[in-house]
Amino acid sequence: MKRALIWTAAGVVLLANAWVLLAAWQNRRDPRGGTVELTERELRLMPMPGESTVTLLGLEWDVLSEKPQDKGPPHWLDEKKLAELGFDCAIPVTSPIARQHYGSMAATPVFLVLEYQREAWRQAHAQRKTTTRLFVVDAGRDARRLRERYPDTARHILARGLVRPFYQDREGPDDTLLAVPRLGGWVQMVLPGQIFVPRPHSRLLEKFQSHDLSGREEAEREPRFAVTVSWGANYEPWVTAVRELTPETPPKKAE
Amino acid sequence: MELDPRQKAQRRVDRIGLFRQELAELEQEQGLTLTPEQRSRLDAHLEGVLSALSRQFGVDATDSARRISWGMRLASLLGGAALVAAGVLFLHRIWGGLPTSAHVLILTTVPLLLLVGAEYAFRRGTDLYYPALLSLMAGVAFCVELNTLGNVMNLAPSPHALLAWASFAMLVAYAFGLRLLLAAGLLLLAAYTAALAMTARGSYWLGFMEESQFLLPAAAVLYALPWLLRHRDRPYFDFIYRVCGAFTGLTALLVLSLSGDLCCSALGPRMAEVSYQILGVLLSAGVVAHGVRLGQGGLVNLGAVAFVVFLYVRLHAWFWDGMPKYLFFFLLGLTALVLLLIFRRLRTRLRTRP
Repeated sequence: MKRALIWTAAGVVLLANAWVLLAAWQNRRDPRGGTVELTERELRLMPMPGESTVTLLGLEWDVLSEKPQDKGPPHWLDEKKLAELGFDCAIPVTSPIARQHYGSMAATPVFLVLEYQREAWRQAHAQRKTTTRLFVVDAGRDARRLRERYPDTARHILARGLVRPFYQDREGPDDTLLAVPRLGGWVQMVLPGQIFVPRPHSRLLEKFQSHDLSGREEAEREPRFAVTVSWGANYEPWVTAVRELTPETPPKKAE
Repeated sequence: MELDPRQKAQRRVDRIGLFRQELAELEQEQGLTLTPEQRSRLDAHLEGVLSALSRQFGVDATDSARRISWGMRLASLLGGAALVAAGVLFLHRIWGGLPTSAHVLILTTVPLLLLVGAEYAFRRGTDLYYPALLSLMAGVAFCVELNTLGNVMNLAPSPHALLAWASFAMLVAYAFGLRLLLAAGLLLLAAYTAALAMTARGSYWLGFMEESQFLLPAAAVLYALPWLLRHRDRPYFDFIYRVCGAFTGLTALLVLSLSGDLCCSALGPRMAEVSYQILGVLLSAGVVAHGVRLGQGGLVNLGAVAFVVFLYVRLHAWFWDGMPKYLFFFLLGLTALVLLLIFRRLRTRLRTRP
């Protein structure tokens, strides 16, 4: 009996690992989520502790808010959109239980549309300083419909992410009470938020790797590398190419 | 609380030691004098019992042997932790230079090797400590490796990993009779059911920590299972099921009593909070009463702690704003004294149990 249990436990380990590998293989069979070359502005090299040789890139993204000069919640994630994403928005924002109702809503997994170096970035960039040029411009529960709406896989990436509603009845630094409370949503995260860079692609990034974990912001500079990333059949990413950016090999220009 | 066979053997060895000390006292006081023949027969019998128990269960027959055993365990725990740290840091050092195939191979092999080590230690030795330590390391390694493999492949976190970890922990726990791994497995299983419920509702699965009402069905099942599933060869596992069920249920109720979330919002947030707090007080008192009935001190302690926490949360909600602070703390002190009296009575009842 004991031996059978040990063998089954070993089988669980093998099965779980096989399942992960199968999921990765299925994802990488078809890059239907899109393939884009991003630069260091959008893929920040994560500082690693000590002598670690692991290379991870943190995905940096932004949203276009109602007031483009501010970094606020996305303007397109309104009450109607939240209802479309499956949130129960039936309770009026003026109801006494609205704060509790909307405040206690859990994050929902959705598919996000990420746009690189196009209209959303241009609008935001005209109003404020933006580091990344990758903007989340839409969300939906059905990836196929989103792809129909955004058919160009080189322009729009489809990725997994989380969206959460918020309820606002006060505004500004002095907490002024709003005449009518506001219901909106914010993009909580893109999943996964970090991308592992395997060999041989990681070799080129080794010289840029930092081991400073203090969290200090680095001085603003031109991107030093560009990474081509594909999002697959399960809308999960992987690195397909890395190149160094020099004056002779600059990043692709915005169209 | 039910004991495992090794603990029972150690208790008997301890009793024999005490018996010998008392016999020596009695002989000195001339309260009892054994004939040389009786004395030698008794010594031979006790030595036989001690050597059999030592051979079968690896128990320590003397205080000095026990102290040395504890020293060895501590050294092996520290040594094991240092070796794990060395292994993890070494892997970090070489990870970037390895191809993905090597990552997969290393990650899959490590928990399996530790599992083989646990089985080897179990077969070789009689002390369960070393197989338990290696099994625990195998469980932790499996959690870390599956997580790392998902990161290497850039996969979004999946709730099914909880099921894999829970299955592994429970299988190894049943194989070697390990309580800690069983508890970890049961808690992971409860988390998995809650994560599935969150997914079915369309929410992100990791949100079950905030919406802990989904933990309640699993908690009730875990608590009730010992009535349906008797562990004849390992009666101490029943206690683990009940403690995990009570812990999960009471923690979930505590979270709900603070957040006021409810699956049926007809009550309103304030009423929902009060309902959960009252339910928490009643259930924790029930756990205490059940623990007393079963003679399981661990269950009584868990229920008592939960009872006090729920009571304080309720008292805080009722009186904190409308009462002078000194009076509030005076009230808390009085409540603690009343609880102390109740627990003294409970302790007396527990002590009088056979």
